[in-house]
Amino acid sequence: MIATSRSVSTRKKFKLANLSRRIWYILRRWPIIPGVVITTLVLTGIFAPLLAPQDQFKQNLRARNAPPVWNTQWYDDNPRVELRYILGADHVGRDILSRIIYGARISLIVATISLITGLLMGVTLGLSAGYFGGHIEELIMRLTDVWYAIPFLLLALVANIIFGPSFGLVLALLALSTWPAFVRNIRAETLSLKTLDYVALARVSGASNVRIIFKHLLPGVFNTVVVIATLRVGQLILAEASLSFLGVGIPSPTPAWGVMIAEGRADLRAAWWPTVFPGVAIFLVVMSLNFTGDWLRDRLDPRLRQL
Amino acid sequence: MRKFLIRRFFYMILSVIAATIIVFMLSRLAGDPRLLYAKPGGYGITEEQFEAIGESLGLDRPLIVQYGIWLGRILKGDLGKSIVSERPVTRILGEKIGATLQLGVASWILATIIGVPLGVLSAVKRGAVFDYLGRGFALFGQALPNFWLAIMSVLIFAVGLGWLPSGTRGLQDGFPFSWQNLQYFVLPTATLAWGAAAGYLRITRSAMLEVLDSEYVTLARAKGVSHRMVIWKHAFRNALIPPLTVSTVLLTSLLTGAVVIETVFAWPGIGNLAVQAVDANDFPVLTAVVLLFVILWVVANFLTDIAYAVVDPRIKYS
Repeated sequence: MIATSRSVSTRKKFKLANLSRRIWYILRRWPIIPGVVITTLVLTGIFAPLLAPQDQFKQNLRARNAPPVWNTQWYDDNPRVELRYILGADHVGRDILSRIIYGARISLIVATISLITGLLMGVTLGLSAGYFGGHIEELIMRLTDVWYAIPFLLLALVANIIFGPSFGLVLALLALSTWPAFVRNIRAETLSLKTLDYVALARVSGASNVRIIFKHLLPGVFNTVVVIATLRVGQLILAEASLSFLGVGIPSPTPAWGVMIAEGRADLRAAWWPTVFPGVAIFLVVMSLNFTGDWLRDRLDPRLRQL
Repeated sequence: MRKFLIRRFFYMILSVIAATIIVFMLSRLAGDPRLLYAKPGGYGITEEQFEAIGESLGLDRPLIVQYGIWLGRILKGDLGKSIVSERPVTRILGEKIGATLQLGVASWILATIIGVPLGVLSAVKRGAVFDYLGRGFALFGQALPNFWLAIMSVLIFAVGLGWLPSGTRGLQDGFPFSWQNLQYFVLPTATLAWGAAAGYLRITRSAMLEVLDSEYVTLARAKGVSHRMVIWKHAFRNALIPPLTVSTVLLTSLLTGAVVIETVFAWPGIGNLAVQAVDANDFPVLTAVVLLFVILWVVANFLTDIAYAVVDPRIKYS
């Protein structure tokens, strides 16, 4: 009797160790945690108005630099502040959590639109350069080289003096910084694809250039496109945050994460929370995107390891 | 080889010209450049003065001639005068570039001596604790926004612990390597270098892994060469090619990245100057900074291509 119960308990223990090892194995094999972070970002962005506990712009000067909710002492000392700000309030008493939630929406919009625009430009140019060759290829590749030579951040500064900071300008700048990353790799890929028999057969059977490019070559470079795109998104979000931080990105009072950090910085000694939390949000999102990008690259296209 | 060099040199010049055209066009897109000098509504400036500015800028000529004049002035080293301080832009740049170079080069050195050895270790101890630590370091370095990292370092080491100054470059007098002067470099250099070190680490690691998988390393092992000799003599020397060649590009990206870090630490360099020029609408200063960086960037890319071709004989010069 005693012997059996002991063996059952050891078996249980054994199973438990096995389970934790399995979980660790799965976490290492699949990007579960980054996946959760990215899903959270997307859902938060879409449902921001439903999730945000407060109005993102509503100011309350009594709650200026109100600390996060776990500092109950402060809320006891200031009974006239009726709301409890979960992550605290900023220098004009706006709820930081709500602004981070709306900021997720901004990051999402900026990253998606600029990525898709840059991707369409880059993939089209890369495919054309690889497929047509000759002068077209020469022209496109030289254009890419020249574009690489322009420091993006400084171009953004110049554009801001001329056009003034705006949402559209940020989108345009980020899209313009993204396309060259696609051109070189897609071209290289196309060069090897177009020598394959099926492309020659398509041409023999009378398919037009446009049809060959989009119907026969595009699916072949799809993996590369996905990998580069995932690796780029994180950088786009970082670039947007840097621009907004410098005051040449998304204009205040829009709660872009970079703007929030810049605004919080002035009161750093009095309140750390307006600066720390948006930074953590950027970090988590970018880290997850990079991690997923690396994982996808190893799975789909290990030759891109140099990226 | 010589043909390749000439070709690349030609493209380098072409890139610089293209960049100047872009900068020039942007400056004309801004509308009438004279409005930068006049207050809104033309207040504080007479009609004659307005025309005189136009003439001095060559605005009455065709656009291509204007570009020629503008380029000619730049080639002579005349970058115009700052709108705000009315001092020659070249002199302002001369005063500021030292601080930026110091910061950039210091971070470059720090990134190299941290990133490359960590990359080798990470590759050699693949799958071990060291590898995870190294890759974690790289992942953090590439995901942390450097301006935020800079602010956090100020919060912790300057505001919280009070160990280091929170900004500026200090007076920098007396012995240059005394702690009195060096302490100002610690936080800006470290925050700027982290991202670059992460880049080095990843590149070194993947190059090292590739080399360790190659046949000549297996042969060296098979004939009984010691582990240390295989790693440092056979593998490391070849794995060094990729990090060596990207190092010039990394230096220029550090100088550009300094724009953000200099803003956080109130570092008296070019980046800080550029951001202040944006706030003050000081177009001539910003144009000059952009041109300077473009030239630096293009030259660095050129040197990288050359370095690649010289160091790695497998590259074809086509």
